[in-house]
Amino acid sequence: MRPGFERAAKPKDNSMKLSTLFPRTLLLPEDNQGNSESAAILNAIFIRAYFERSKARRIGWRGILPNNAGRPAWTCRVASSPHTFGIMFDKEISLPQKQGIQSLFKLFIFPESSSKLLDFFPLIALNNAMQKDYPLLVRNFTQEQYFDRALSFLSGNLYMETALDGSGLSLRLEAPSVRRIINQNGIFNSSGQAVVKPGAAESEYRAFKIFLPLLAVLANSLEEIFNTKCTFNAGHSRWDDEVVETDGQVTRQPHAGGILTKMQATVGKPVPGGDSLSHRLNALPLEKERNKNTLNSTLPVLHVLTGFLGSGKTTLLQEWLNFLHDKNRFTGVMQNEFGQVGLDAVLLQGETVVEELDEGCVCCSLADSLRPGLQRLLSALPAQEFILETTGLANPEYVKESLEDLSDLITPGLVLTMVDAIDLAASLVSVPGAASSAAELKLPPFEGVREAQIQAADVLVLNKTDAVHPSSINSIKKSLKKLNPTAKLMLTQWGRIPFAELDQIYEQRAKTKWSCTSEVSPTKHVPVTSAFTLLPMEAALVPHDHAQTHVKEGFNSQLMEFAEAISEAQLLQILHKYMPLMYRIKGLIEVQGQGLMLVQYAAGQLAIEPYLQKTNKYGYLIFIGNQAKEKHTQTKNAAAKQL
Amino acid sequence: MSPINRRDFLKGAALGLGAGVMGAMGAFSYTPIRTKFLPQVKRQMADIGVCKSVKITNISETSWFDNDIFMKNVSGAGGLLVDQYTFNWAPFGNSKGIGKGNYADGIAKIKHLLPNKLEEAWAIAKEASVDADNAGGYACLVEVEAMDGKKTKYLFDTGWSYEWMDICFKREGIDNMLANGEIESLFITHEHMDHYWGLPVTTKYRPDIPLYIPGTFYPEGKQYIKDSGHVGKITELKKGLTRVQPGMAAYSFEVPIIFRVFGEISLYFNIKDVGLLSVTGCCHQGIVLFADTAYRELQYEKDQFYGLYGGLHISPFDDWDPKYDDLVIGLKKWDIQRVGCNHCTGLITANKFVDAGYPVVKGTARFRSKSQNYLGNGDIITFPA
Repeated sequence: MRPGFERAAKPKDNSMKLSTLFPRTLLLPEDNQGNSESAAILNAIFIRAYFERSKARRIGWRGILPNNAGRPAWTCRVASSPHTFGIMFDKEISLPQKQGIQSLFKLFIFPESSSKLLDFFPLIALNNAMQKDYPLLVRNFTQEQYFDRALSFLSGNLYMETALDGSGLSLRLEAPSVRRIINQNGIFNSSGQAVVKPGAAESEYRAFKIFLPLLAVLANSLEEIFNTKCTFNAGHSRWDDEVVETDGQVTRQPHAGGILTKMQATVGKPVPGGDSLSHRLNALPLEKERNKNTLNSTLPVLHVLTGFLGSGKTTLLQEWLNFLHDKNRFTGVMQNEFGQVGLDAVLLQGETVVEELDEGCVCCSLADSLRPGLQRLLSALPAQEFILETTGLANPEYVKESLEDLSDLITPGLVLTMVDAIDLAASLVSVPGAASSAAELKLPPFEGVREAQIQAADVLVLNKTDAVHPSSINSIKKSLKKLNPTAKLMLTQWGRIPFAELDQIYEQRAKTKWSCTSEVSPTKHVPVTSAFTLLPMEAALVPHDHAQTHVKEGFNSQLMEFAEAISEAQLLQILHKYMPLMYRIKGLIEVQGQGLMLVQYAAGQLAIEPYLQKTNKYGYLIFIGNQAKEKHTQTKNAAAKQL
Repeated sequence: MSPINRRDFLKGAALGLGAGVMGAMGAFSYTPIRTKFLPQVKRQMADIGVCKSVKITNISETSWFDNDIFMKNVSGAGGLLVDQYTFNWAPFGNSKGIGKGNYADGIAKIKHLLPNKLEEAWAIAKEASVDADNAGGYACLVEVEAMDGKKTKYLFDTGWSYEWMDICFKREGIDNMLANGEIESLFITHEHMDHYWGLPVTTKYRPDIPLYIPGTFYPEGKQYIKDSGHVGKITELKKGLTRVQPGMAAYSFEVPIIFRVFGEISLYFNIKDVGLLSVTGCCHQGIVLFADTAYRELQYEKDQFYGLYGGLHISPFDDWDPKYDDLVIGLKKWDIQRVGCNHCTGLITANKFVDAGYPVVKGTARFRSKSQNYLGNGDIITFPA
């Protein structure tokens, strides 16, 4: 008995109509003028699977690239396999009694050039993979200039059978259980040592097993498209090894137990006249893998975007949303600003539904304030992703902990922490004991919230790198790596990171659920209603012992409102007074003769720009400082009111 | 003796591989899995003739006005796979709310008023459907100049809202052109509501206009032709190439589309001494496939893919290599010289085009078009420039 194959009970009748996917009568090959119905159907399967990109990922797709140079062909990747697969249409025939169509697609395995699998491929394949143009070869493998070399990766066949009346469709994978090529000559290096011994296997790899994840994802796609379950069948025939003889001729040589493994997924009725396989299966042998690795949760994913004040979160968020919207990946955004007016919600416009959480700090009343907002967003959008942009003062550990309470609504995503290269560069100090003062610099230890933000990150984005000297960047990188060795560190300017990589990073980390790093179980918190004017005394009453929150550090925000336009001189006067005292200042102010101006001050940098979008929330500045500067602030505010 | 590392061997043997290695290559000539056919298909070089120039007037590209409202509708009806006729979008409303509509109920309310009493019909439909004021539509006027100087006009799609499209038709003089028989025929690119449901606005002015549709309309779509008061010739295009006039051809792509639609027609023009122009509604098949198809099947001047107009979806898929997952990169190889984009291109992609230095012809952002990076409502583009 072959392991993994079980005999199943009698087949159920799964009805299916091809017209749900392909709404016209099929043409037999002889009537089709050299075109292929099967290639059109396979293409339609791929496109349907990709209507909703998050669903495509759930089914197991990791990207498809059509190759239209010649015959219909595609390269693709799927979950559960690190390799790129090539699929190329070969030929199409009518089945007996013209009841259906059978077509053959050739299957290729293109491992990454660094993959160990290549050591078991024919040597020429490894050679091809080591060339600089290998990535182009893979992406364009049917082009004349690449095809001969691509042949060294050819490893299997995919048959499609379709009933002419649309009542059934099957996909059948056929590949050697072990693809073995014996080299009678052997291969020697210049010193006469054998790279491949004479008579040994130059190539030996489990072709069928490697292709199985592809069949699984195709089966998932069929089930999804036709809203039914596949039936699975398996069979085999004898497979002889290939032998390259001493004269260069290729012959076949029987190998005990050598088989060509065949496995088929069918939707609807068995295709009349199609090839039948002897064994029914309950499921594909890697069924468990199929479910485990295709991220079965249908709940939307919630990512947390955090980072210190002024590091550029809003800009990154805009770029991220652009990327997602480009791919019709509908995303909801929740924002929280530690201040009385949600400025960032005003800056982000357009096609995002944004929920502002104006209750001050998301830390302090998170699950309670997030739940209705999340529910509103979930009902407003077919969103598969949410991004929670937290205040620059939030502790992501605490945020993550609270989000556990929302596990019925969302599933945890990535924590992205943005840090400001300019800010960090300014704080670099010499490494004690370093011989040359110019070379060795490092970041001093972070305080509380900042440290937590860096440590909790899955992705660390170092922004504004264009404004900092490369040697400082290196020192910063080193220090950050020490603090968080596992985070993926991305350097950027203007918040443009390779967003397409986030999916891969998420997948790697999705297996480890979020866990609260504290040893104390989460306590229920008293909702704080006037969070944005917390004084240190009140903060002490709120039971936040197990996580460092910003409150302990005594951050505070003050709002200065302006009923009318002020002159540029007056604006600059106010700003120059407060900049030395504050961590951050931001606002929208009408300046005489210039219109609405956006004011942003962070990490020692002041930016004042014309604000061109329409809004009726303006005439204010928010000052965010800490406890030590609070008193000073209050007197200054009084002075400002007189202006 | 430790096994010789294959990679080291290959690196060392960079200048020439020995006979033993060549031996393994022989396996590929004879391997039982090898295909005996060449993968490369010769370029077919179909001759579609030549024309002198093409002028496109954007009648409307704003399919709907508020994307938030549209997305709420999609969400409320159940997502992208839901049949568009069931949304309860005007004009097919039955007052039962989002996702609970059907064609028969909807048309029953207004059929007797089509196509001459559009305002009344739309007013009734508005009452019975969801967010009717959000509906706009896509349509453009394509004017082809033949080599002898003769100009022929075609209408490409007919929009969605009766109210909005009638305003646009009047603004551009399409109403008079139709009534005077100046427009040769109407092409419907695909069955989507924003390209097709405004059909009565065309048939009001010329009920017998020759109609070209994809061969894969669903029953409701076909029924609507009659119900809109159309009495002219209907041609259902087969997949692949159909010549229209010298230098102009339609191509029918077999591609599944969201909201239960299948198949899309695009136009190819071969402009003398200039090159190929492609005009699309939404290009759901993806620009990459669109361009590759032209390369594979058609012969065109100077072998140059010259121009592109319309809604431009670049690709229906995610690339498996994150480095290439920037959709704009894919177009570079074609060296397109003149682009007018709008509608479902997406403002983000349009902005990326402009940022990447593509030759995008800017518009004027009038009549509710949102950006100058779009060739907007009322804007005109000519090929060649």
